[in-house]
Amino acid sequence: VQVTISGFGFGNSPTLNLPSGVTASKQNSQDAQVTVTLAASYSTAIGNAVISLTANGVQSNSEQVTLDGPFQMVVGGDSIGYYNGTSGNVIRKVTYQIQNFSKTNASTTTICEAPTKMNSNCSPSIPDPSAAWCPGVAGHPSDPFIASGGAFIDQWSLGTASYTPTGCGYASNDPWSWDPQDPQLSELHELGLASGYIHTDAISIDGVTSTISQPNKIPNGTVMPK
Amino acid sequence: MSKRSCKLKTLLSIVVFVGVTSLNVLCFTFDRGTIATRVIDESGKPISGVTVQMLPTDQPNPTGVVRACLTDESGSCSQVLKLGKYYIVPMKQSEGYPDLSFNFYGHGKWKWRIAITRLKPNASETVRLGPKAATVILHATNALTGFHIQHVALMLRSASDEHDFLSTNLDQDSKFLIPPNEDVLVEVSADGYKAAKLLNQTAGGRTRGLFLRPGEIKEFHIALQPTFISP
Repeated sequence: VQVTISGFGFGNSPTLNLPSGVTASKQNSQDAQVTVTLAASYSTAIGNAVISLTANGVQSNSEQVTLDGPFQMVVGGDSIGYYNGTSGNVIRKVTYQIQNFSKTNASTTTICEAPTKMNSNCSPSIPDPSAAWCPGVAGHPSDPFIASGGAFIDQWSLGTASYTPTGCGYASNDPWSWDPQDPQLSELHELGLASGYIHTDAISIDGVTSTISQPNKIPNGTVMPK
Repeated sequence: MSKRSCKLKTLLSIVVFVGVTSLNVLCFTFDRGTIATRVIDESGKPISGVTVQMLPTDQPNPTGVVRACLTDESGSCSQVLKLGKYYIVPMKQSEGYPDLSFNFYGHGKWKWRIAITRLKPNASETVRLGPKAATVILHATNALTGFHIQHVALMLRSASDEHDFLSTNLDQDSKFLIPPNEDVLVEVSADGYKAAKLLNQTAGGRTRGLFLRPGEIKEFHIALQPTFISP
């Protein structure tokens, strides 16, 4: 993006003080105006940052800039019901919309997750979830997912008949990240955390627990914690 | 003013956008294939904006991210998937096409299946949607103040099989879908309010539930009683 900085006393060779990961090119400096092209790499932290300018050993005031990009995930729907064709398997499907820092909806975004499965106590053992694994997770090849339109569905299921004892299951922490798929970097940007548990009689996500008799849901518009 | 006191004056209403358009480079390995789907409506017209879910047929208890793509203007989209068999489950709730992976809408039937194998890693399918579900537009208000209630929850049950249910939130357009040509019991609730049933007011006094035709759109207003009234 091309940026124009106005003021005075810049001299001929001012130095720009930029956030980490932001680089400048095509800088054209005059005493009262600097034009420059700024580019942000995938390693740049998303959010507000400041830039300033140093001329003749004097640093200017700082101005805020927004480094916008995929930043958070917001609940767009939470539905619970029986999986088609089954009488005992209940699914809970939560639809998330990825939002940029500016709270606009992100466009198509590559995302990944690194779920943990803890305290599993069912017989037989419940299989691992089908995950969009992030790079670098031990034992799982990277398998990111392209969220068309910046939206995706995460499905948590319980089977009332398949596992014993009743109420068994496992706990899970499932952090989701934006994976820019930059071959030069392994940068991930966390979008949100879905933590909770999957038991044969209940599914809990971020403290909102659903059972068949009391299928509570996360309200639409809820921003997932990180 | 000396140079030492110089200040930047302006200026920067800058929004530097950090590459939202990802490179979308996925590793193609021998255990992957591509499924391409084209979605049309009952008249054969392509539908854009349809979420096409691919659900493995061998997982009766699926947990995890739902692999899905979004159709473009030609009604088409494709996705790279592990080799295997899949149910194709398209949905576009805003146009009356519900998520058929819920038994409440799918009634135990999977309309479309597809397989990708090592011998045939690429497959395509044209999916004709329909009939549409019925759309209910619901306006919920506080019975005492008349104020609009924002977060409304719904419990939908098939009248012929009350064991089957779908519990969901009212969407941002205040709409939800019900399967057509059958009685559906609808309970409306919200935090701080007594739940109430949505009844179809007909000349014959029918109050069993809602019974709507495919593609029918019906608007309702319901006033919920607060459970707590401040003194």
